[in-house]
Amino acid sequence: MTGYFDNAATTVPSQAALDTYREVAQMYPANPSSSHREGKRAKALLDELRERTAALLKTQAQYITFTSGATEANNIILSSLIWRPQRAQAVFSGIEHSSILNWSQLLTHLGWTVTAVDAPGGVIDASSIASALTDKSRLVCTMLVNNTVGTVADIASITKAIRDVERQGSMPPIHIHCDATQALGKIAVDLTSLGVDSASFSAHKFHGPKGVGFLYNTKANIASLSRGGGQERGLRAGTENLASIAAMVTALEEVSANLAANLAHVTDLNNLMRTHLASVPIITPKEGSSPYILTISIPNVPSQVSERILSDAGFCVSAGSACSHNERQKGAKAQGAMRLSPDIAESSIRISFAHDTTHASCEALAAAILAIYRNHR
Amino acid sequence: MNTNHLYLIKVGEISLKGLNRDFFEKRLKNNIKAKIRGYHSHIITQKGRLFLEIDASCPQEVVEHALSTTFGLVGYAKCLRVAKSEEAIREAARTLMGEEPFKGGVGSYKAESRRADKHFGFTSYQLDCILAEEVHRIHPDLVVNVREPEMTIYCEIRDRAYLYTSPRAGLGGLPVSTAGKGMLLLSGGIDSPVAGFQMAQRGLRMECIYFHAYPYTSDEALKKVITLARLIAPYLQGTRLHVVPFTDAQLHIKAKAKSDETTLMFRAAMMEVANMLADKSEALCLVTGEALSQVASQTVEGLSFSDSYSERLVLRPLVGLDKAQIIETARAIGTYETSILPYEDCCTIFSPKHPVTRPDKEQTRANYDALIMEPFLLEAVANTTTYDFSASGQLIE
Repeated sequence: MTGYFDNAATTVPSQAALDTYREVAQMYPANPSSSHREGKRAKALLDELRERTAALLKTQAQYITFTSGATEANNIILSSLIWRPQRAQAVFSGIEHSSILNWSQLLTHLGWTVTAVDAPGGVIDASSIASALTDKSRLVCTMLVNNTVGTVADIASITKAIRDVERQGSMPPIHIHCDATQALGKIAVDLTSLGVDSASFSAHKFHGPKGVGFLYNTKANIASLSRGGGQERGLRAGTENLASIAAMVTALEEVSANLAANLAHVTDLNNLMRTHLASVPIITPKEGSSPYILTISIPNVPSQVSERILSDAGFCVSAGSACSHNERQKGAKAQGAMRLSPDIAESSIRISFAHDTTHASCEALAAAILAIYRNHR
Repeated sequence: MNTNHLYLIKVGEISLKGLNRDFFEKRLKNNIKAKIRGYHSHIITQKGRLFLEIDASCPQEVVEHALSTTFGLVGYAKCLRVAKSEEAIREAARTLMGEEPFKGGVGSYKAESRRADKHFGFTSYQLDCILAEEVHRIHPDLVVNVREPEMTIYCEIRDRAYLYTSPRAGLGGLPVSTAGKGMLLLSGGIDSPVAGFQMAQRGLRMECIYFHAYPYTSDEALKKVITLARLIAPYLQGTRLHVVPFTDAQLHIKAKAKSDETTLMFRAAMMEVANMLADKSEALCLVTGEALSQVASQTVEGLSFSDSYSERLVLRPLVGLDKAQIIETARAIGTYETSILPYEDCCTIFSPKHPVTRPDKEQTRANYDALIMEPFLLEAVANTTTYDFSASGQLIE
């Protein structure tokens, strides 16, 4: 899709993923929980898909739970706190996705202490997280790639800092959850070196279908609120979405095989845009960010106005995070935690690339942005 | 008559009118009929009452919506019409006992009769007793309570006898189109739909004007205004919404005017456009939702300045109201939930950080006149698009 620069909101599904969907939907129509021959075939495929997913992430199949996406995966981790007899402390980076930040209200209502740690400029600092911990800390949520500005957190250092505090204080283990939605299939994700206990992923961010994703979780004390037929080892009730899971795995295999080449191409596009847009404020730091996301500001022009003008010119960009557009204050919490000046935050535009984005379309977009910038100086 | 339903309609203020009462009644009849178009109906007039006879195929909600949104009537009830005989009245009372609210047979009630025909053989009190006998015969557990009854059975003796049990209050006021025509400046906020409602209550017919500054205001903001126009259309007996493309005019003002005066300049330009559209629509006044000191431009000085750009009377029915009172009406007329949708009616780039609140009229007028707005305003009027809404609240495609 020419002019589509909103790949952090969602990507276009790949042809191979769509082909897989159709094939599996037609060839494996049975319910994987059924005990007849067709059911067993479906179950066997589901097991195989779990193995393939685990292999791509260099982990074990038992740690993979298929969900409807990262929002549900995040919700499984957060909702497990409700089962805990003690009301303790949860620590979030202040720039988490709303599917995590919006738990603050309920947890606080239930008697938990929720601490949101600011991440100036979108950078989550290991020592800030560590200093927010108390002997009551039970959960830390820290995302890998920020969805609004694209900064990449040094999760390995954050994990190490948390484990150090844990050890020094002889504290019970803190569950570390990482929303890696904007990372998988785009930059290298090595769960072992990240050292997190759980992580969440969505297929539609890496050219798979919408409505499917998965949770990586190594801890036995995670219990979901979802009640039903006990699928996914009780973490996610409901008949498995086999065709979508298969399509997701196809998409993930595709992007994983081309990760380095795609990354090089997108880095090239990102650099090209930065060169063309040298005269406008660029919010995404050049170092330490995913090249797939470039957030800029067009001073004096509210984000929604730029979004409309660009949309009319044939470009899809995002005024902040599309996931928070249903809220009254779009992404206000995360923007506050980044300590962006209100003028910059309110005029920010997120450009997000895909491996099939072209140089020509980047140049056209840059020209359109510069025209808005000049007209409103 | 089995295929028709009958509604008794009580008229309020218009029954006090003198020689021009016919004019008001005729308008009220037309206003009601405009909302039940498509169903065979007939309205007859009697002293202080109208009787609407309508084909039974018309859903009760349609009739009730028509009567509850029409100004000029103070109450209405679905009723039975029978011969002026004791037996016919008793039989009608028995019929009503089988329907809501009497059907359940528990609670307290009273009977209330009145006679426009004083020659009728029974007094009102005797009639009340006849009704009570029938009530008691069918629902022996009901108790009489004349002070605070839970239900009432009414009987009116006129040319014939009319019986009913569930009168509903109407909006009162005067029928729309008995007070000429105005142009309502509709912004998308809470106030302007209420202002339109208030002036419709005094019989003013109105068309609406919305200033659209795309891409600085969104398509969603326009859709919101279209929804608001649709919601108030029944009270206004139908309306036309003029959508004025105002981007170029606003950009010109932003570029040329002193930044702290931009809002005042917009107001003056809007007044001028509203007057141009009023010319075309043959409207005699403007209506706005402004309330004194609500925002920076709504000071006495600010309103005097913008008034000076209207050749027509500017009516501000909310000028002395508190926001809470305005919100109460907005909720009652069903516009509040739409008005609070988060689509801004003015882009922040056009809102000065420190607007002038006490403009010097002559100086500010000189500043406005120096902007030479006319070409932009003529262009805006020429490119205005319209949406029409029927009296029953439908967008007419």
